[in-house]
Amino acid sequence: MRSHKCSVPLLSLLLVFAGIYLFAGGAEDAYLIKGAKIYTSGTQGVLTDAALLIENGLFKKIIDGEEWPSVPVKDYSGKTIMPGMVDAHSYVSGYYGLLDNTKIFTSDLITDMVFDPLDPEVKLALESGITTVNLSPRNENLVGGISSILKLSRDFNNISVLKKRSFLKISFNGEVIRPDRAPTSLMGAEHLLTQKMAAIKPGSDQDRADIFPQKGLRSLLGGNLPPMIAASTLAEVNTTLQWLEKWQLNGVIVGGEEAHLLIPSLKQKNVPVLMSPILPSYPEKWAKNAAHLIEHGILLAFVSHMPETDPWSLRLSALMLYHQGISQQEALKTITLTPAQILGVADSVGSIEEGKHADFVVLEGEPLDLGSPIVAVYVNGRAALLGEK
Amino acid sequence: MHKQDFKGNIVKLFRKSAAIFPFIFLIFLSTSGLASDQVLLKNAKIYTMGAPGMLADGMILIKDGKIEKIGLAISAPSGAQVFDLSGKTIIPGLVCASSALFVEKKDHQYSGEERPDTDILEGIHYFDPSVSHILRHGVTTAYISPVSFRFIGGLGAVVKVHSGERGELSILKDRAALNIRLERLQDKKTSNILRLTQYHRIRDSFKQAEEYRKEWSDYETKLKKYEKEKKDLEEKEKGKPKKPEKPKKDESKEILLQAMDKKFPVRFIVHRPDSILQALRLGEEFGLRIILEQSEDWSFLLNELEKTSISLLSNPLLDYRRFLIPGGKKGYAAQYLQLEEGDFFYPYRAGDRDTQKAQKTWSELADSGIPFALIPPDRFPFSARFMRLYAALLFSRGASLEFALGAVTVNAAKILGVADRVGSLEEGMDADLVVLDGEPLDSLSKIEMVFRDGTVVWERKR
Repeated sequence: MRSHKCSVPLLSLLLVFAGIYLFAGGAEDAYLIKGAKIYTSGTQGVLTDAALLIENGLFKKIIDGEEWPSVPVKDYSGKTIMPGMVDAHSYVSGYYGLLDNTKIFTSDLITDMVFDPLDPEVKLALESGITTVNLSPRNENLVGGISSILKLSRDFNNISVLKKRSFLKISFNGEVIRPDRAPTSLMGAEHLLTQKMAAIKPGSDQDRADIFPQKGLRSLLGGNLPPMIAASTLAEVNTTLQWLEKWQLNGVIVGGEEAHLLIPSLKQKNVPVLMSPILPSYPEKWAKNAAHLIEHGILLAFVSHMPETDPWSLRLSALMLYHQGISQQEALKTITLTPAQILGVADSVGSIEEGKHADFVVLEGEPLDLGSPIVAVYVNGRAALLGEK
Repeated sequence: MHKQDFKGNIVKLFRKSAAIFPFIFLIFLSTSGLASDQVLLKNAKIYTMGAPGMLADGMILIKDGKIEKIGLAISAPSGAQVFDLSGKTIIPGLVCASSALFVEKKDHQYSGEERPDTDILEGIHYFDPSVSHILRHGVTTAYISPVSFRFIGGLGAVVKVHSGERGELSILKDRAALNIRLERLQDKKTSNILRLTQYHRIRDSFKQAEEYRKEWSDYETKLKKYEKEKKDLEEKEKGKPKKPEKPKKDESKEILLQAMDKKFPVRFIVHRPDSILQALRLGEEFGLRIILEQSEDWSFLLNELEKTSISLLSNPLLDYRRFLIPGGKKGYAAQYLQLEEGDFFYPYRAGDRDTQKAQKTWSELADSGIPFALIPPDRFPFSARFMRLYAALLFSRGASLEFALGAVTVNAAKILGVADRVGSLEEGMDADLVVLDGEPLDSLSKIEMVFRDGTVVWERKR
């Protein structure tokens, strides 16, 4: 009897609290974006009359109609929305000039350790609509280290890492070749790498794991870490393809300016290309070559190599493809969905689809029109730019 | 050439047909005969950038390479070639106020000696392969100049983007400006001491030019005196007076004097605020007409600049603190563009580039009334073709359409001193124009046709 008397007001109080909590929680986390033209980069193509329900940092539902749930609404009428850009090869965050290149094998280095959210370059990238980056070591070491995929953030306490170990960066780029230390040639670089891998191969009698851990190379050999190989010229790309063949690995090429000369091999071995951006100073044929790769079914994404180029070079490169006769939607995919697919994170980022992370960019006009300014950038459902709420 | 061939054909045709069917020729003459020099463009949206303003449904009549008439309703003269451009947009041919056109690639590196009397028109790379590429993007006029590295670099000219079969140029204005690089960059880093020595060297040259002028005026007064004395003495038959010594002619100093007489403007290539101030100081001291080129940090001195009568050439993409190329120092692009180790520069921490602040400054510049034109962000030849894109970027940073499009057309022509011929679409101007399938500053709109001097020089394949 006694306990029953007591529990009725207690229960009602609990219910009231729960109600308040639910209501407040719902109002805080869920909201609706409507009015904008949406380039999804996904299966739904372009949506002109849809609303996005965002809950807990995810695209909960894409509503194509008038039945909206009663949540706060952000009206972006007349604006355009595209997915947050995915930059699959970036040095962003200020450590660009500080790489030790006296050692040629630094495969234990993990790049997310040096991510600095307060660096002005991070802000620059976010303002330009880049929301996900694959932070990579530079091209100067033969084996540079391990790249990490993370969401850009200006907040030290709120950095979300999508994949801590995404690729092992290997470089056959000209920058690895120096006159004062080995390798002094492309052939030498390939040989050194092969030698090193043979030495640490399981069962090798030359293995000195106690002194040189080389965890990165070990997981590469173990098949746990795919290689991302910097190669630009025909010779470099060719060496890369043969090296992949030799070690039976599936890798990704970054750079790839002359990859169009090896389309059949690329296609046969199913090697995607993360292409350097196309800058205004480059001739027309560079864009034509990139378009060729896409037309032949090679998976191609543009990367910024920030800070080597400005982040707007991603949109510029996609625009160049558009002017080569590729549709805007397809061109847009080379900086959104395709890089996410190549990085293996297309289940969470790269397009506007239900269940994916709510990373998107609101623009004044068409996504590839460089004359249309960026209004807002959202990462995980939250406005990422300063001055935005 | 073509015209003559055409007329020759007509004459042949006439000879053949006159005897048998003279009336056929008469019909031929009235439809497409001798009057085919005339071109009528109709039903287009025209951004004239000049007095007629924007014409929503306008017409342009072109005759002999010039705009004969522009307006809303023009009746087609008999025999005119008519282009129906409904749904299309016409803008004036774009003007690139600074380019690396017609300069040999290796001349972009430091060549050793620089002299004020170097004239670009005397050392031109006629068959520049980038000409056709630049033209097809709608750029029809360009300023060309010898490259200045650390001193007074020589005289530039304004030309049409055109090189004929025999390398003939079409020059709009020779001796258009004198180029001076005030800020010496070593490995893309600026140094105060280097800059000061350079400043004093340049100032010295102007000082010497002043002395040179005085020397000559002294000589002339002495000569007059001498001639008078000589006459007097000859009459009195009392021997000869001493003839004054004639000073040596110095072409370089003559050029500097012409700049001081405001015969042509001086283009100072500067970057930092302090070197912009140095340029202003030189201008004030020697009475120069100043054009500031590049000058990335103009925004710090907007109030100062407003008081002077300078013109500004810049680009939102310029940044002297940072120059890198994708793929790194030995990457593919660096090899292709023939870059050297010293061309790369990166400070450990880029300054906080605030986009919102930048937007504010560009719209402030538009309001200030300082004559402004866009230039390409680097010195590579192909960069000159994207003038429309740079205007679009400027537009996205808060400038008005008129200001952004004007910065690559009419205002650029005004700064270069060729606004009487190009930069806007008005009667009597050169028929340089670009036909687009959409709005001019929408980067998705494609160029359909490019006219230069009334002829179609590029047309998009369908």
